[in-house]
Amino acid sequence: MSDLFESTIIIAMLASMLRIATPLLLAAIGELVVQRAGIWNLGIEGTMLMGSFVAYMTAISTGSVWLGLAAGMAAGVLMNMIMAVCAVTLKLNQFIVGLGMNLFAAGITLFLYREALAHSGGFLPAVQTFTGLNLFGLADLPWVGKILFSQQFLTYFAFLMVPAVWLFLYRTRYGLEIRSLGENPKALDIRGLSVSGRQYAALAFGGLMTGLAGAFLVLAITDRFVPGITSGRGWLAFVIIIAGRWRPWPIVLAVLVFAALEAFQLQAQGVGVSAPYQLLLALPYLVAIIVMMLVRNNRAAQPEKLGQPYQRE
Amino acid sequence: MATANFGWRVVKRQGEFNRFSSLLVTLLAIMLSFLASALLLFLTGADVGEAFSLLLEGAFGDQAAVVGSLKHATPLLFAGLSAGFAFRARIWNVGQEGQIYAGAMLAYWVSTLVQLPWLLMVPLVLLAGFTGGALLGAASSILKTRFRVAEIVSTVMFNYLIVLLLSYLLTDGLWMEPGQYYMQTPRVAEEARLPNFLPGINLHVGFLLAIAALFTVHLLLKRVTLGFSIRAFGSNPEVARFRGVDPNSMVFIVLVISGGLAGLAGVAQTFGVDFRLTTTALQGIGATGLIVGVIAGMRPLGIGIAALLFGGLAEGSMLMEVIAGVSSAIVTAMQAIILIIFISTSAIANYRLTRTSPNV
Repeated sequence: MSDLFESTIIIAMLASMLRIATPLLLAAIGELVVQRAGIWNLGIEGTMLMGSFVAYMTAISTGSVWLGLAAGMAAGVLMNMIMAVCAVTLKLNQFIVGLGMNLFAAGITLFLYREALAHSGGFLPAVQTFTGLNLFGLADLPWVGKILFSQQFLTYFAFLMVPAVWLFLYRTRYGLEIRSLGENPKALDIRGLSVSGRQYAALAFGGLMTGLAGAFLVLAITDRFVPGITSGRGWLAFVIIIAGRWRPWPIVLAVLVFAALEAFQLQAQGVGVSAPYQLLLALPYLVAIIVMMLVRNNRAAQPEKLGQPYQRE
Repeated sequence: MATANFGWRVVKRQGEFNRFSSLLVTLLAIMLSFLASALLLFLTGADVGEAFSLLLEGAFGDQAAVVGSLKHATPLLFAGLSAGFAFRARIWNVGQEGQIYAGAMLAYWVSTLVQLPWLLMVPLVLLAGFTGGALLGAASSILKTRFRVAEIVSTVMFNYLIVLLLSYLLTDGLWMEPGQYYMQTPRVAEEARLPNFLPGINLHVGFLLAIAALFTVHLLLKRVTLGFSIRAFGSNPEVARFRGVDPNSMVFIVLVISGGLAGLAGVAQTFGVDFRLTTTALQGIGATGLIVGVIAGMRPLGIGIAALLFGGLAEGSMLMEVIAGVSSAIVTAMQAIILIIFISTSAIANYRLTRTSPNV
C-alpha cells in the first residue's frame, strides 16, 4: 500500500517536473540564441511576463487558447524588438535596457490587469487550458505513460527545440554566423554580412520562445494571470544559460534541476513535509545562487563579445 | 556605404552633451511619457482630462497634498540614491527591494528588543535599518568577489528570498501580532517612530534625512578621494586598478553603502508612515527607486526631482482612484513608460543628422 502511494507520488512528481520544465526550457533555449549572438538580454523576466499577460487577456477575450498562444508569442517578439532597437541600433548599455524592460513589463501589466479586473466587476475568468496529449496511444502505460506520453504538446515542442537549436547553431551556416556574432562580429562585417540584421533575428527568435514560455504559464500550468506570475522564472532562465555553459544540452540538464526543485516543492506541500512552505518556495532562488557559485569557472565558455555593442571602427 | 546615397547620415555626437540639451531631453522625455500615459488612459476608457487634473490636484493641490507627496517621495529618495550610487560605479545592484525589506526588518527587530527614550531609539532604529540593507549588500559583494556570482543575479534572488523570510517570520507566532488574523506585526513602539519636525505638519524627519543623504552622497562622490575612486572604477575598472584602486574593496564599499541607503528607505516607510511590517507594504519602492536612479543618473538634483515627481504621482493617484475610478496602478505604468522613453530619447540625443556630400 505504501509502495503504491510512493510510486504515485514519484510519477506525479516526474510528470509535473516535465511540465514545469517547459517554460524554463523554452525561454532558456530561445535566449541562448540571443546570447550567442552577443546580446546580454536581462529583460527575459519582463518579456515572459508580457507574453503571459497578453496570452491570458487574448485567450479570455477571444475564447481561443490558440489565439492566446499566438498573441503571447507576438508580445514576446515585440518586447525583444524594443530591446533590439535600444541595444543593437542605439547601442545602449544592455544592462540598463534589460532592467528597463523588466520594470516596464511589471508596471504595464499590473495596471492593465487591475483595469481589466475593475471593468469586469472584480472577476476575470479562467482560461480553458490545453489538455494533455495521448501520444501514440501510450498515455495509459503504467509508470511512463503519465510521465512521457501524456504531456501538453508544448512540452514536447520545448524538448524538440533543443536538438533543433543545436542543429541550427552547430550545423548550419546561419547558425555559425550567429555564433560568430558573439565571438567576432567584425569578421562578419568585413565579409559584408549584416551584424545588426542577425542580432535582430536572434532577438526575434528569443522573444518568440520567451513569449511562448510566458503563454505556457497561463495556458497550461495555471489557468489565469496574476501580477508577477513569472516570479523570477526569467531570471532562472538567465542563470540556467550560464550554468549550461551556453550550450543546448547542458542547458537541458540545468533546466531539469530547477524543474525538479519546483516539482518537489509542489508535492512536498501535498504530502505534508514539515518544513515551512516559505523554505520550499525559497529553494529555486537559493539554488540559483549556489549554482552560480559552482559554475564560476564557466566564464571561459562565455561568448567573447557578449554584452558589447558592435561598433565599426 | 549605402547610407551615403540618402544624402543624410546619422553621426554620433562627440563627447558629453551639455547641461542645456540634457535638460531638454529630460523635458522632452517627460512630455512624451505623459502623452503615452494619456493614450493608455484613453484606451482604458477613462476621461483623460479629468484623470490628469485629479492627479495633479491630489499631488500638489493643497498643503496636505504636498505633504503627502513629500512623504511618498522620502523612501524613493533613499532608494533612488541607492540605485544611482551603485550604477555610478557600474555595479548592478538591483536588490533595492530586498535591501529595503532587510533594513525595515532589522530595525523592527531591534525596536522590539530594547526600550529607550526616542532620542536614543530613533537613531538606533535608523542605524539598524542601514545595517540591515548594508548586510544584504555585503552578502552580494562577497558573492561577487569571492565566488564570482554576478551581483545582478544575487541581488534579484535576495529580493525573493527576503520577502519569503519575512513571510515566514510573520507566521508561526514569531512576529505576528497576537490575536490577529492578518500577516502583520504589531505597531512599533511610539519611541521608535520617526517624529515630525515641523509643528502642525505631518511630515516625519525621514524626509530631512533623505535630503541630507542626497547631499552627503553628492559630496562623497565629488569631494572625497573615495568618491574619485568610485567614479574612476565606474568609468574604467582596469585603469582604476592600475591607479591603485582595489576592485574588491570598491565593490564591497559601494554595495554596503548602496544597500544601507535602501535599508533607510525601509525604515522611513515603516517607522515614519506604516508603523508596522507586512509582506506587501514595502512592495514597489525598490522598483521605483531603480527607475529614479536610472533616469536621474547620479545628479542629486535629478534624483530629487524624479523622486518628488514619482512621490507626487503616488499621492495624486489616490485621489484619482477614488474620484475618477482609475486604478492607482496607473502610476507604475507611467513610471515604466517614463523609463523606457527616457532611455531611448537619451540615446537618440547622442546622435545627430548631418548632410553628407553626394557621390561619396
